[in-house]
Amino acid sequence: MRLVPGFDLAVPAGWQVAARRQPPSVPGRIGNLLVHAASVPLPRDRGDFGSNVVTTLGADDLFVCFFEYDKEAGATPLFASRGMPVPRPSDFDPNNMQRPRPGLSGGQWFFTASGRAWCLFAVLGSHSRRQSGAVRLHALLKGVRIG
Amino acid sequence: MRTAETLQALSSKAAPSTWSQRTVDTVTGWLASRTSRRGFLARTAVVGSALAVDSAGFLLKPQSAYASVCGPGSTCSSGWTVFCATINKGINACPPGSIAAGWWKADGASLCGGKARYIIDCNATCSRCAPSGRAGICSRSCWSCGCTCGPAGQCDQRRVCCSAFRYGQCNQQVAQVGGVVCRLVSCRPPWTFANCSTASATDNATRDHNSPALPGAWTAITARYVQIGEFKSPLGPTINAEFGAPGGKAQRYVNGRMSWKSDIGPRYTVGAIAVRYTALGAEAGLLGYPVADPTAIQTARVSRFQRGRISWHPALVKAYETVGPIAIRFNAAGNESGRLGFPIASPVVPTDGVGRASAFQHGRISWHPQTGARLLGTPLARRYVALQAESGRLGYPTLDEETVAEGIVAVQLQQGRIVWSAGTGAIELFDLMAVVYARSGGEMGPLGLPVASEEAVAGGRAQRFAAGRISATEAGGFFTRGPIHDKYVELGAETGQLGWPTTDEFVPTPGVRRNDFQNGWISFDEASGQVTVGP
Repeated sequence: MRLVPGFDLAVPAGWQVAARRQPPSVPGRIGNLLVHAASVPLPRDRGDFGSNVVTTLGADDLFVCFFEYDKEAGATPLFASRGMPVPRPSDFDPNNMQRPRPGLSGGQWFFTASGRAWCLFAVLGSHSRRQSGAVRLHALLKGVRIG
Repeated sequence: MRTAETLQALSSKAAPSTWSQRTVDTVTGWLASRTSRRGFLARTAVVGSALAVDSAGFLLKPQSAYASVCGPGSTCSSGWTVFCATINKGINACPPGSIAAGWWKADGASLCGGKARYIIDCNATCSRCAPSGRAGICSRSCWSCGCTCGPAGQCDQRRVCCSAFRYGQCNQQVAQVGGVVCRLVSCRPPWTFANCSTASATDNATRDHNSPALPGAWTAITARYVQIGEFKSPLGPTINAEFGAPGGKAQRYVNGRMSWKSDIGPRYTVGAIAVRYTALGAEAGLLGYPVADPTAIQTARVSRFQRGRISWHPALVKAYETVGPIAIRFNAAGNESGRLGFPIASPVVPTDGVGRASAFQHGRISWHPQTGARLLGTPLARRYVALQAESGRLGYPTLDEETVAEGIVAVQLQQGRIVWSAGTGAIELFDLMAVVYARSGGEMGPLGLPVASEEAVAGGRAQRFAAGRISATEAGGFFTRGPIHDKYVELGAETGQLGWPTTDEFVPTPGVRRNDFQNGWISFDEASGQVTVGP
């Protein structure tokens, strides 16, 4: 499913997905892309990194965010990793979140794909079930095409 | 008083300006009747801030004023990260050992006048390890800090250096950073003042998060601060919140201060000028409120106040004030761009404890209620100061210095006079010497200019001039000049056979000039040029 030009995602059954271009901070620039996918409903007033969503996750739920940066960021060390990340269960930690909440577990990966700089941020509903959560995340990422 | 009663009281109370202000008045009135003075002051400040940040929330929901000051989610267990101002000596900036690592905004923030409020994460450095692993956040064991909660005794109890998260727009040249130490706030976009990109992130849930060490409302001071550039302004980051000053408000910054008074508006002072202003008591001090923002004079700066000014020149390092009548006289002389240049010291109080004096690059102004503020240029001022200035024998100048003739400058003082020319330098005449000199015609008279300071002679004092001499005893002072003077000196002057003069030069008969002395006289016949000594 083509969410927006340059970003395709095969949406799993029961998932909700939202994509939009951010309002450009500097007039005249094209806004960066923001994609949210979750196994729970996405409220309208959610934060870009999942506030107001992650607190609704059940133990087996997942929230995923693709946050795009300005194109020139792709040349910086922070985005040196090329291609879609391959998250491991050990990458997740309860403190890997903007706002850690009991039980939840977050993971964050910076990378460049097709010359565009991204952060993949994923929150699992249960840190103790991060193994199965990582598997679900992998399944989702398999359906992502950036180009 | 319950909430409903509070609101009723609000509607019936006539006067104050805003809804919040009226509410503060009402609530603080209630507090005043139930607490000590110290406790009352502390609580009214908290209540005022609470109402400014979240008026309806504070009044209508069951919560403490502390919670409203800091906004929602202010406990350590809330998961949010503390504000830098809370843990960084009140300074709204990344503390040492941390760098800006990313930002987001909250739209429609009352704390930014209804516009976006930007929150910037300051993440720890990975100072304890060499970088390894994937980009983003380094291993927790490498962080330059450890996880804890906000300091006790205030409401921003949020977490310090706990969350391993990176928004990612700032300092992207740094592959790895540690956890979020704290966050700073701004009403201007981060890419305008920090090494951050424009990639916009939004989280409105944090809109009303705040700290007691941050400005608690959108005030005239905050609006002006944002207008002049906020972090990029000469003032730098805020230090703590706005506070009350006599008759107004004030806010401290790393590099200065903003003062606000209703009839003046917000005005700032910066750098060495702000340091001096604060040392002088700031708004409560002798200068009062600033009436203008700093003015640049090339690389120097000047700030004007209600009762004076402070001037700073980079060559002088420190800033110095001029106050009251001296400031008025300084202004009349063209201020720093005028003949005096910049002040080089703060005003001094002479030993009489009454007057004041200020030294400048090119002169001095002395003030006494009986003489007014009087100006001396450098040549005269230098000699005046060498003679203890206002505290010395000469007293205060009674007039500004005057140019007597081309190349000759003089100033009249309470007990004397100083005369300067390029050929003679500055020479003073004390007391009777000055009186006799004036009687002789002064600088334009027959004696010409003084060529030396007075000297003690047995029984009195004497002073030499270009064409004569003044000799003074307790009995009086008299001048001799020309051929008579030359003869007098030849005969030993005051200590010679003739003793001290008892008259000025006089004309006993036309064409003859004469001086009488204790033991005789000397006359000079202008026609023959003959000098006669008698008896």
